[in-house]
Amino acid sequence: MSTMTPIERVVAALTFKPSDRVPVALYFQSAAQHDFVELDYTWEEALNHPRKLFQSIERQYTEYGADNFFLPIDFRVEGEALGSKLNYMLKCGGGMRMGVVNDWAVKTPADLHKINVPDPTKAGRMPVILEVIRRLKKKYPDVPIVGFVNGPPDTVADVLEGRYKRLYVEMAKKSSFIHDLLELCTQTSIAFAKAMLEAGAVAIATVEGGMVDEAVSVDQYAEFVVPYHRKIRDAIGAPYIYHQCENATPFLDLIVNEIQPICVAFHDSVDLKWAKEKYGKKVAIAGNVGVSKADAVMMFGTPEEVTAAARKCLEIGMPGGGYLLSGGCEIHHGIPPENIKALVQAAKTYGVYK
Amino acid sequence: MTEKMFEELNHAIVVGDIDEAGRLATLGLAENIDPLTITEKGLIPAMAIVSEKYDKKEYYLPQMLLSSEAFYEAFNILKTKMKVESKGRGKVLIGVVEGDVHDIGKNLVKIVLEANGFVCIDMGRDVPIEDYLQKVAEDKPDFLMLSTLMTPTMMSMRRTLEGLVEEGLRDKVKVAVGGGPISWDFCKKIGADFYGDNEKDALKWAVSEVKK
Repeated sequence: MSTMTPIERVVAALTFKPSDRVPVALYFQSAAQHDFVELDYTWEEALNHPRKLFQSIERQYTEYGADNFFLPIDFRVEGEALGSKLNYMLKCGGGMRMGVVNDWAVKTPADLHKINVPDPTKAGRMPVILEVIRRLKKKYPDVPIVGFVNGPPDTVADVLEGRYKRLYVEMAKKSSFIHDLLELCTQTSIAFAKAMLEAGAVAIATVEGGMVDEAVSVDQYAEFVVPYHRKIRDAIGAPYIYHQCENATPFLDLIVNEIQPICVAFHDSVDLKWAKEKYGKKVAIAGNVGVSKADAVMMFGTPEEVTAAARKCLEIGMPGGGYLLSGGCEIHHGIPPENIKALVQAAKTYGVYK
Repeated sequence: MTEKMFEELNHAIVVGDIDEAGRLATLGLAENIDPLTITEKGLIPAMAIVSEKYDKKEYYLPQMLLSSEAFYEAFNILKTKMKVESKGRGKVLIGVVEGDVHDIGKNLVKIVLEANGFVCIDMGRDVPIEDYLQKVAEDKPDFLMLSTLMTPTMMSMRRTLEGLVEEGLRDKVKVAVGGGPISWDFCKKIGADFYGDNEKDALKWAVSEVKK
């Protein structure tokens, strides 16, 4: 088969059509820090200036060779657009300088009534993201742009003072307030996703980071997570790609059957062989070379070890198509650039369909 | 307060009824019952049940945290009447290391320690290394417990231990480390005394150390 463009390759994988090789789809997030260091930008200036952010994002394709662009690369965009304020830590472990919320928009239930769904063309850093998408679309029309929205519970943790602890307590109380707040965050994600699609994104990806198997039950997941993601999936009219942090195994039936994303990006805690056998015909699969404590090969391994791990994933994922090679979670700043490149190269070497 | 009322207080905490837990604690004090007795009979058994339910996956973090709010509602009322703010069974300086803001694990350890008679000084999250060193020097805790959820901030944990050595404080305090990416290997590598996988491990270790 002749060489496909990245967008043709990704669409083929998502729709189980033949393609030249497996695409490499990355949740490329805080690894941008490598580029910020090279470009001499702080997180704060890179995230707030379209030109600077663009320079970093385009390297996902030009420097690392991924088959997609992924942005925003931090998790705070929706929370900030809803009125929370960020603090950028300039000195902390591992050089991590991503913004964290230090002033929350919602302190009491009454505050909720003062907040409306933000206009993505005006609120917070959303216009910066939209401008970068427009620039990417213009310069790289053949590379699919994947817009990222936070899972609604994660946005709640960025908006509600007390973060996850307060969210969990309100969940245990089954308060209507927390459902109202989840609804606001869901509508915010929908508005932002639609604006990103209009600007040139072709798919929307999401993450559930706080609602993990160690923290919540399947029933709680069904009540506080599933309906809100399903709303986003139904509203956007574009492919929805879902990543569950940590071990998604207990929640996978709900994710695949109820949320119904076009693709599930598996964390490295999940056995890819098992996932492929159980869900590989129903939903496209992305995954899951280790980036976390469960399997840290991309962080601490050599490029040769990354290649070997990626090859194993390819052997499992490729048969029958519907597979994208990716890391087992976000590509973060603890992963050396040479290992990201080794992952991409593995798909080019071992992911070719005969 | 009768045994029945202790039972009701335990029940209020297990089901996370914050108002009822506070009401019963206030009632117990009004009846001139020693706040330590109320804590031992009305609060600690409840947290043991909650912890067991959590281990058995009958409870998850939402129920666990709601119960802990009910616990603190009662405990904070009782604390105001405890005669001396003593060291309890031991003094613990606890916090999340510099660069990390994930504090749920640290909070669970603190709850279980306080429920079992330890006095905790909660440093919070994203705490600068120098603040830990200063507090160890000033407050002379028996234990320093450090937590992190993220891999990059493991380095911050290492530097805190190095700081204790450099300031001549390392032999003044026993150090436990914990959190998602932490392991016994890492604990030994950075020269900490103990690694705990969960709040029960931390409690068991602290209790065994104070008995030495």
